Amino acid sequence: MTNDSDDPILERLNRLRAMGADAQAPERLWNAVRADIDRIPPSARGGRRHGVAIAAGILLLAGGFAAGRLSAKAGSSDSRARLEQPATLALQQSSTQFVQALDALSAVDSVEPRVHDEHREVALVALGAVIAVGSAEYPLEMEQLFAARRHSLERAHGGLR
Amino acid sequence: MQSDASRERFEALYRDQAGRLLLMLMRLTGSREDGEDLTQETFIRGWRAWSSFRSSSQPSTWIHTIAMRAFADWCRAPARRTLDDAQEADAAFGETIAAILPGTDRDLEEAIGRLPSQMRHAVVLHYLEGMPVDCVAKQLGKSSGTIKAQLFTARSRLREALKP
Repeated sequence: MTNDSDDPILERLNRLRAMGADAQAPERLWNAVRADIDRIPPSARGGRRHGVAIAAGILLLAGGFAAGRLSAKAGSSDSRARLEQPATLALQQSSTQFVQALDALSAVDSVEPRVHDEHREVALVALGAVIAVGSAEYPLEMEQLFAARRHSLERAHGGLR
Repeated sequence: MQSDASRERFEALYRDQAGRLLLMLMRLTGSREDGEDLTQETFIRGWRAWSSFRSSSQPSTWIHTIAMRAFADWCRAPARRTLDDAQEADAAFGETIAAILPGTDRDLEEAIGRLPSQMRHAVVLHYLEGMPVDCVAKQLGKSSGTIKAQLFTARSRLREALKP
């Protein structure tokens, strides 16, 4: 086997690699790209969809907390007993899965930004719905859950921006 | 709607990276037309995601990742799957590359173009793009051992093809 440092083919390949930065795309290619991005401003469309998703999430969240406060005022909850209920456990599992999904978004972003956008919108609405339902039905349990999950949620929120 | 400043930054990214990406994609596909189509596709995908691009990443790395995804999709296209691995680059490949990289080593470009496509992909990504072997293996869906063997064989073939 040839020693790499003495291989003239490797030397020529290395020279070729070093030249790569000098490559020039023809102007007509930029004209074609520009025509496409002028015709389809998808980032604007994505931004609107994203805005709608955030708005929906905020409305669900506000509704959930409002309902939660009414429920708490009515004094109908017995949180210790409810913590053992299957519905509470299912809610906790669902919330954990959503938090994990949000954590995964930042990893997805580096691979395929479009997928990231689409998953982010779905995740925002889904998380808003979980928080709303949870806050309405299980206000005290949700408070405990969020206290325990605060770190994960903060990391997930960081991944959203 | 994207602001004018955002659009200008995207155009600057294009000016900075399009030549290099076009060169890589032409070498990978072995075709000027396919290379140009994929470069165009890369920047269209990039523009769609531009508003969500985070400045903590390098724009060049980001757009390169999108280009590699576009190339992977191109490889998976039904028409592409039926191609024989022995598929060579277009005729006069060295001339084609020289059109965007005038000082290139035409003989070596021609010899790379005559390699079987999968071997050419490994050579382009490892030797000409500087990707580590394990990253090339992941990108091409092969084991690192397979890629190393392909690179070794490719160098032998190139040496033979370029004998004086």
